[in-house]
Amino acid sequence: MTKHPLTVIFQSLLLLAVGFSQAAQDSAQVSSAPAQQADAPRALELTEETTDDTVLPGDDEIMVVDPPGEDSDDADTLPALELEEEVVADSSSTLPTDEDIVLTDGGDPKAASDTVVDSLPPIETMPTVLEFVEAEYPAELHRKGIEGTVLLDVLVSDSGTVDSVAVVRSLHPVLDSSAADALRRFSFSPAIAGGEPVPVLLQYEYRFSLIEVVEELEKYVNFEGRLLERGTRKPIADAMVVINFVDTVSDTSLPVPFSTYRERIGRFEEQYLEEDRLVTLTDSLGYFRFYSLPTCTIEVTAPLPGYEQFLEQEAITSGEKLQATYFVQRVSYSDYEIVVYGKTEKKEVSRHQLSINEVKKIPGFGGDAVKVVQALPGVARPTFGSGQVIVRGARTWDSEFLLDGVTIPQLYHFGGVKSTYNSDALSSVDLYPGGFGTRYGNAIGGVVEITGRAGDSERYHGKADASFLDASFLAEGPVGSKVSVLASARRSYVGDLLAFAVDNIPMIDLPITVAPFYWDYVLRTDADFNDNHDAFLTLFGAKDGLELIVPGIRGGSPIVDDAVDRIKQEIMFNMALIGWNWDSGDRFSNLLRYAVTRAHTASSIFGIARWNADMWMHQVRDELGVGLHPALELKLGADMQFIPYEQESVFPVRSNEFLFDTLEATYGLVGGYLNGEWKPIEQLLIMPGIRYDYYLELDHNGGVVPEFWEYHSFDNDGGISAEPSARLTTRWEIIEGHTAKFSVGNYNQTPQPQGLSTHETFGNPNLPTTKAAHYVGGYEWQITDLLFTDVQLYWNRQWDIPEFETETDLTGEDFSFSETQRFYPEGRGRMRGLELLIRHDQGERFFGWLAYTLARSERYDRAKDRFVLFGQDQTHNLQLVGSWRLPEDWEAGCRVRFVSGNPYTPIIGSYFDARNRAYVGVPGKENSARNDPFFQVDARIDKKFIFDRFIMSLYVDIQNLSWFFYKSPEFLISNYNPYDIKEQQEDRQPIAYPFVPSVGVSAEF
Amino acid sequence: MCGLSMSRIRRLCGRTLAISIPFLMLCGVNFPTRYDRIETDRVRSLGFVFSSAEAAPTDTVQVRSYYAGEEVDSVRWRVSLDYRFTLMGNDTALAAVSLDTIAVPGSDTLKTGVGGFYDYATVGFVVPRDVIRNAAIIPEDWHTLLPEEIQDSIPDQVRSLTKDDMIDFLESVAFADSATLAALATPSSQGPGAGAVSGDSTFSIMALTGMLAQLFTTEIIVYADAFSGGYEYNTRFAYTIRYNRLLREKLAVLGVAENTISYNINPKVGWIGIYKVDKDSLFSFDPLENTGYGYTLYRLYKDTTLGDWASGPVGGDSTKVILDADTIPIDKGYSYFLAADSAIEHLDTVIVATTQKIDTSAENLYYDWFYQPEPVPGVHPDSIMILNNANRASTAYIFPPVNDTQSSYPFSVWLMAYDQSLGDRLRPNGFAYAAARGVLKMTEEYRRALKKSPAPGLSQPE
Repeated sequence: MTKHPLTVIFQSLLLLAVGFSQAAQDSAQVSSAPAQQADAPRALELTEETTDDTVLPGDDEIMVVDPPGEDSDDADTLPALELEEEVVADSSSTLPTDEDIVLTDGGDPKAASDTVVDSLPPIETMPTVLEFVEAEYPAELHRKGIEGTVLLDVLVSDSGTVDSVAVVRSLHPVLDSSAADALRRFSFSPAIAGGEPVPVLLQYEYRFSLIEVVEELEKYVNFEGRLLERGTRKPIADAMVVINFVDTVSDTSLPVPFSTYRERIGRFEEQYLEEDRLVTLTDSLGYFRFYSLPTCTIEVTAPLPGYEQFLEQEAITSGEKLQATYFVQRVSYSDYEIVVYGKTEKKEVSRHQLSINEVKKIPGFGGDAVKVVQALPGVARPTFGSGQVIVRGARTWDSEFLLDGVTIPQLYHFGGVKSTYNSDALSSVDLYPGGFGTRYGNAIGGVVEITGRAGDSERYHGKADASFLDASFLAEGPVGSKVSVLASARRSYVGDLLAFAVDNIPMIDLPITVAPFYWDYVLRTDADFNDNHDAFLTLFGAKDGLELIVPGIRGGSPIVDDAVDRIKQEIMFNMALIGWNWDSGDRFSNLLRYAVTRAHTASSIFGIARWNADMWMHQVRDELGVGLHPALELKLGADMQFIPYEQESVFPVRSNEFLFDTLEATYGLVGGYLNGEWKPIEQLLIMPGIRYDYYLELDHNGGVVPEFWEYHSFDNDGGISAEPSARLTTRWEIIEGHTAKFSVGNYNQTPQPQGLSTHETFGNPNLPTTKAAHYVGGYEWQITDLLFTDVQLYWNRQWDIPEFETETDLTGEDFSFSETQRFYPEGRGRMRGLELLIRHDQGERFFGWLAYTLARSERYDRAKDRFVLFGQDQTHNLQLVGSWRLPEDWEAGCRVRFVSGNPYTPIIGSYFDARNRAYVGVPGKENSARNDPFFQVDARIDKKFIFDRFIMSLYVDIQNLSWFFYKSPEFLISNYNPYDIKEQQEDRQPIAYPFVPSVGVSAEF
Repeated sequence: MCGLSMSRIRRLCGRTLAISIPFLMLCGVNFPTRYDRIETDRVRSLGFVFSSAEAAPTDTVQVRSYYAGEEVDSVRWRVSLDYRFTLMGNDTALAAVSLDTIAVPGSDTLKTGVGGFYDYATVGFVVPRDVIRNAAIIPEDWHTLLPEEIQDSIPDQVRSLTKDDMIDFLESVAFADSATLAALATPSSQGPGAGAVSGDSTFSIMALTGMLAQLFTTEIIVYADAFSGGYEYNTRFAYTIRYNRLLREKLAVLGVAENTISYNINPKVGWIGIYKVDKDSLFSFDPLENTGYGYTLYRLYKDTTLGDWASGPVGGDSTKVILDADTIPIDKGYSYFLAADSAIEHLDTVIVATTQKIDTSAENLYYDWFYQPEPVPGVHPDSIMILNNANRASTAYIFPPVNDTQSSYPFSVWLMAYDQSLGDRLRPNGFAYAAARGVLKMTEEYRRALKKSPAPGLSQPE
């Protein structure tokens, strides 16, 4: 031991001199009482706690205490003074006798006082220990746990030496002797009475303390470890790690009994004792350490909420440091994070935000979170393999698809198989089915915005996934303290598998070969510079390739394409997106995005048609937020696109010729918007906004006044190809949990299909923007923390829709072959509907929703001068989605859909086109018939296998379980003769959506 | 971003779809009838064959509409001389009237009564002279029909001519008598088209005639509405009218090579037969490419009017045998292909799409096969015979009988062969028709094997 906190305490001092009682009466502090007899011996009691090291007590540590008495006010007895925590006052002690000293003999101290006290002067100065000698504390005794005090009478001479020592109360013979020997070698300053040194008789208590033996115990780490979440290897921070000592006798080298040792190490910093168990806490990275553990067997556990109890037995070995990593299993691995809806402030009337982790488990989407928007209210059921996103009766191209605020060329791989952006690299998916604010432009339908996420800034994480379709990986982790990186890539191999099977399995002799493939990648780097600035760079790209080979088919001409026996399609894009966010912390914030995209499209159809297109797309978006007042915030934004576009195409036209065309054009827009968020009262949010968009590719006179309908009564020409928009959104929380909302706005976009509709030869270069007005009203009710409902009514109108020429355009007197191939801006649309969403957020076991849409979408038939049903009009669209977490890391999901069948145009007759060798159907009234309802049940089962360092997941996703009892018609296919003249009925048969089971496996760490 | 409306693409995609039918069947599609199988209870139009693949104004043309299946009671002919369409494929035929207005009196005939095997209706008509002049699909600014780079090569004085001016000139050549042609041969002369074009222009136009002739082309729609058992079966054909035949003849007089102007003629079918190839599970066969297989060609039909050309392929060694026989033995270990030869080595002149210049190029020939097993009570026709001719090639795979109710199954086949070439504006298609009959006779070994192991993938007897 290096330091000895010696507490040599004079526990009590008994004045044996006669007459001292008066002084005691005068003052409770004996030390201040005058000595009445200088040469009279005094009796004192001292207490010594022994240790290996000895430090002499100072003067202030030698205290005079009152002798015990029945009454402290009694003038004949000295009152006992309590010092510190311990008081030893043994008036019955037998003191050693000496000829110069008047000893108490165990008789009545009062009687003794009566005989001598009056003749002695009061002690003026108490003796102090000048030299302390430590008593020997034999190891075999403190190892046996023998501790306590030895009470001794010590006669201190007037020179301060110890004249004699006598054991008053024994502890152990050896220790008694050891204490006496030590005391004899003590040196004191003499007691002073009457100005002269006088001998005194002290009673000294010498303590042998076990705890002091190990007081200076060396602190060293001999057990350290780490707590990680099993499977994910996620560090468990601030977790309690508990050691239970299984055996307490195995370590015979301990200097003190085990319990004393344990108590001692329990007082080390960073660990503590709790009910005989040693406890410590993990740091932020899950690390923990224990100090100076005895050699023994221990049980380690970590009681953690949300995790299963684990108990590991370990052996602590002398001279070795135990290192261990414990993987603690979560109670459930169904979700890594619980995202609670509704906690972020809602600022839109129609917005559905999806939590990535939960929606990936919805059956029927193959784990693709972006596709789940198709299960939300307002979104029509897409035709199988189409990848459509029909929002509130608007065509797919009427909606905008954004990644972190900028347009992406392609949301889905072909056919809607998978989204191009890996769902694992997303943080959220937002659907704005209508009535959205001025932040979004160039869309008259809805907006789907996906938001990428940063890589994990605390640990490395990886995931690999494989299914029948494709395989992918994701890796992420920190690079330094402020930068994180996320990388993901995916490639399909279904085409390769098919090709392999065709080549190698004799039984498979397909007349066609379909070789589709796709890949995509995401590389995102995030930097968090400080509290005010953060930035990210996303590199994102995808490619779709398809070859449908029909061996032997005689296609077109090699001058179009050498591959006359196949259809080829290739779509590829790469984009770089830079984002910078700034928040001043008080009033200002700014959001900047710049993206450059390179896209390439190449297609060829049997050597009959071919086209290649390349484009660069530069996009800049900046939004400055200014908090003018706690209740008022303005957002000023700029939204720009610049798209140089080149295309070369060859295709046959009706006149049997090949048409060679090259196109160089620049598309794009320059838009600006101002948006306000005003809260006149806490419960009311009003968001007015204006926006102005200039379209580079158009050549028409845009409006001055925002158009909410077709203005015929006045001239609204603004002189340039630009359109104003005005939008207003309000939300009013009537009472807590009940919110009414309303929005109105007008919208515009470039004519679609972009490029073709304004093409010099095939389109109409003078087309105006396509316009729309949205009117939305709704009501939200947060029924419980988990249960939420949203009802919306909408009424949308579209006009100036480019409409392709019809047969009626050929019948007029002014028909001209060279001038009729045009789009006419005379299309109109009207959509209205009711949407209901009842959603149960992720609870302990369940999440899901019910989505119902009652809708009607129509288009104006220019030829017939009437509105007809839109081809994707679905009167009823009911979807039930649920996912249940089950024990043992099972999870089950179910999705049920009931949707009205799509309208179609019936065939009322047919004729044989003998020249073109084909039967041609005679169409009836457009979209006047409707397919039978679509009903489908999908199911999905997930099972996780938790290993220490990774998690393996298996899933079975079965689409269309209902196929066995109901064939949902997807579309109709005609026989060679679409109208069976003999039977006088359509010779059409519905193509049912097939039964599609799929199996996938993933591993993540 | 282009709209492809060409019917050819539709057909190709349709064929691709047809090939995919086995997959679609997994989705529940199972039509009771097939395009290439002739039903006995309804009329099937096989197509039109015009006496010439194209016609010029004032030409007299005979058109024959072929039928199979149920017997036709009568045929009504109609015509639309105002047929309009656009580049992107929308079309409409206006003012369809009875063909009687232009028909050759007494030419309307209907031949039936041979069990639907060789039924046809015929009519002759005269192409009105003004049909091109009145064609709405030929714009006043006729040169806009040409690609821009070609337009630039046309002299301004020619480009400035109106549609009527150009037609006047073309007709002046097309209908010119020999004296006029001689006058035209002199550059300084003022020919019949003098009112429209100057002499210099005449020569400029004549130099471009081959290219310009395609611009002054139109189509008329000929309808044949067949009636049978109270039902009406409609067939139509877009027939190409242009001056090319006349121009070709007249310019030849002037010393211009015939091939300068594109002109199409009908193909011919030399013979129809069935290859029995010494190899099983063979799904495509071309005797010129798959030379390693022995075969026997059972020739069911040949056009004797074609002489030696129609005698069929050369047999060569002993493994390649040609028999004029209508009974084909069906045996194990062989593959069967319906085949025809219309390999007329004619090279029609066409406009080459890339250069818009006249050139001689081989056409593509396509074959529409139809068949009909002779009905057997209680036996589904698919159990007797199925053809696979998705590529419309000259050979079509035959799935042989899988039903042993009878040892022999008589059948009929029909063929419509046609030519096609892309690039020449409104280029006509030439058609040829042929038909034959035969018998599939199963050997005993084949029947025993059939009893032992019925083909589960094929339709079973109803």
